[in-house]
Amino acid sequence: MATIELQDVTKRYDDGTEAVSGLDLEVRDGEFLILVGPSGCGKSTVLRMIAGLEQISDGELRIDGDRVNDRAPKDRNIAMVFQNYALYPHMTVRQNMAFALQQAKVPKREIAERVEEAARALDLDAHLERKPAQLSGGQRQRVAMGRAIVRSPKAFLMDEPLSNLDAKLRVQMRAEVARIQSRVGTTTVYVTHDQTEAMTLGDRVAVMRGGVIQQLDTPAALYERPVNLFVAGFIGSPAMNLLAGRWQGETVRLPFGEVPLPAAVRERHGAAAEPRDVIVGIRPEHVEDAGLVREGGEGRHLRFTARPEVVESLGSELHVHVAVPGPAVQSDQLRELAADAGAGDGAGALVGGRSLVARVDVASRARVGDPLELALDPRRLYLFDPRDGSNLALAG
Amino acid sequence: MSTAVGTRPVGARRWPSRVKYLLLAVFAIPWVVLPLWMVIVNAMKTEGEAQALSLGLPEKWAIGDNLSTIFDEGHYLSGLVNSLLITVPVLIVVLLLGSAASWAFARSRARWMKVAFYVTSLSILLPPAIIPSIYLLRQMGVDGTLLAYALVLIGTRMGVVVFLTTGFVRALPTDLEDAASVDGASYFQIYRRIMLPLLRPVLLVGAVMLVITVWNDFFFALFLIQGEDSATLPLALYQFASGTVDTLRWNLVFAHVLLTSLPLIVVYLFVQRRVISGLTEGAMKG
Repeated sequence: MATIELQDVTKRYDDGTEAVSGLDLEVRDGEFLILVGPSGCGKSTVLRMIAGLEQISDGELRIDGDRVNDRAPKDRNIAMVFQNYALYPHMTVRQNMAFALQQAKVPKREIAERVEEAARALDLDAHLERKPAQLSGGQRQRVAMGRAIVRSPKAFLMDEPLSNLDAKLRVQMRAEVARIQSRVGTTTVYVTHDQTEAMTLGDRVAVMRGGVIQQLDTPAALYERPVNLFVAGFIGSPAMNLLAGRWQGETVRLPFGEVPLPAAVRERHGAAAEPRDVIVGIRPEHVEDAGLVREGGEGRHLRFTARPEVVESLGSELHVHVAVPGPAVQSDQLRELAADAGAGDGAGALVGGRSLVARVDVASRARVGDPLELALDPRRLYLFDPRDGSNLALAG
Repeated sequence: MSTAVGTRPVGARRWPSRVKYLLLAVFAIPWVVLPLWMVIVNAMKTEGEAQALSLGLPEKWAIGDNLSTIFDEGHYLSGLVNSLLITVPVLIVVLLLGSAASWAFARSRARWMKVAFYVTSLSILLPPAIIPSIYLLRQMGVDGTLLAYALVLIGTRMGVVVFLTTGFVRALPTDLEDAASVDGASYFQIYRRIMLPLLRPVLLVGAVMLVITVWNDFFFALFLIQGEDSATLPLALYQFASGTVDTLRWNLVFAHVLLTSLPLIVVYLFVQRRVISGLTEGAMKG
C-alpha cells in the first residue's frame, strides 16, 4: 500500500501538444481513486505516467514519498490492468499470473502458493492450465486482475478494465473489482470513461477535461455540487438538463416561468442589480409528473405543461422527454460534452437546451403527444455562468 | 475457423478440380518432375549407362558403388560438416539479431531508425558487392575462412528476416510489452520471454527461407571459401563435378546432387507440419 502524489505534472509531446497540464493529485493510502473524463482528456496518460510507461515532461511523481520520475516501470512495484487485458497469449493462466513473481525472483514454491490462492479467490482454479484464447471475456478479465493482485504491489493501476465486457458482465465485474479492492486494501487508480463506474467504485473521483482536473471529490459531492457545467453535464445519467435562463433581482426566469433564486446563490451573490443571462441546470429526478407531487410546507414547485416527445419506460421509472421553448444554450464545455457523447455516455444528449428529460414515477400516465403537467423543484436548481461555466453557488 | 475453410461466396464459379490439377500437372511435369526423375534414375546407373542421360530405369543398379565413390572422392562428409557449421550458426544469429532489430525498427519513432530499416530491407534488392566484401574480410584478417563466409551470409540474409518480421511486430499491440515492463521485465527479458514466442510463426517462415538459401548457396562460397577442406556441400559438388568433366561421370554427379539435397528433405519432412501450423496461427492471430 502506498500514497501517490503528482505535483504540477505535465506531459508534453514532441510536437508541443500538452496531454496533461500542471496536474496536482494526491492519492491516499488504500484509496480507490477514479480518473474519469471524455476521450482525449489525458486520464490514460496520467495513469501511464504513474506506471512509468510515459515520460513526465515537468513536475514530480512520488510513490510513498520517493521521487520516481526517472525510475523504470519494473522498479516502481505497481501492477496495471489494461483495457484489452494484455495477457501473454503463449502462456497459460498460471504462467501469466506467475510472470511478475518470477521476474522478482520469488521462490518457486511461494509463486505456486500465491498463484493458487489468487486463482481460488477469483474462481479461476479450474482454468490454470488454459491459455487466454481458451477463456471467455470475463475469465480473461479475472486473469488480468489476478495477475495484478498476486504481486501484492504498492498500487493497482487500471485502465478502463471493464470496457471490453458486455453490459451485464460489466455490472458483475464492477462489483467484483470493488470487492477485491476492499479486501486487499491496495491503493488503486482507476481510469474510466463510464461515469456509472466512476460513481459506484470510487472513494473519490477526479473529473478531467483537456489535461486538467476540473473537480476532485467524493461521488456524492460531484453529483450534488458540481463546480462547473462540464462536471454537471458529465456526471449523472440521464444528464442534467441545461436551459437558458435570466436572473433578475431575486428571481430566475426559465422558459416555463419564474422561480425564486436558489438559496446558495442568494447567500453568495445577493440579488442581481442588473438582469443577467445564466445557464440553469436541473437534474431529471427533480422534474416530476405534477399529478404525483404533493406540495410540502417549504417552497412551491414550478408547474408547466408540455407534450412528451419520447417516453422511455425502464420498469422502475419513466424518462419523459419534452421540448423546451426559447433559445439554445451555448458553451464550450457543453460543446465538448456533446462531441464526446458519441463515444457512449449520453451526457451530451441534451446539450443545446432544446429539450428536457424528466425522470418520473412509473405511476405517471405520461404518453407521447398527450399534454402532461410537470412540476420542477426550484430548490434543486443550479445556476452556471455562461462565460466560464462556473457554478454560481460555489464561485465568483 | 472450420466454416471459413472450403466455403465460397454464393454465386462464385468453381473450376472443376480435375481441370486445375491437369493444368498443374502439365506445367509441373516438364519443369519439375522430369529433371528430378532424371537425377534420381541416373544416380543409380553405372557410369557407361548414365552417359546416355536417358529417363529409363537402370539395367544394372549401381547406387551403392556410386555413393561409396562420392564418400571417398567427393569430400561429401567434410562438405556436410562444413555446411552444418555454416547453416546452423548463420540461422541462429540471423533470426535472433534480425528479430531484435525488427522489434526496435517497429517500435522506434526516430527518423534515423526508419532510414536504417529501409536500408536494411533494401539490401535484399541490391546486387552482392563481392569485391568490397573480400577486401573488408582481408582487412579483418579472416578471408578464405568459414568465419568470413558466415559473416557475409549473415549480412546478406539479415534484410529478409528484418523485412518479414518488422511488419509482423508492427501489427502486435504494444500493451503486451507495457504489461511485461510493469511486471518487472527488462528489455532483454521482454525480448526473450514475450517477443520471441510471439514472433515464432514468422521466424519459422524466415528460418525455412534461410535454410534453403544458405544451404544451397554456391555464389558466395565460390568466391569466399578456399581449399577443399573448407568446401560446403554445393562447392564440394562443384569441385567434384568439374574434376570429372573430362570423363563426365554423370552417375556420380547426380548421386552427389541427391546426397546434397538429402539433409534439406529430411529437415523439411520434420518441420513442415510446424511451419504450416505456424503460418496459419500467424494468419489467425497476427
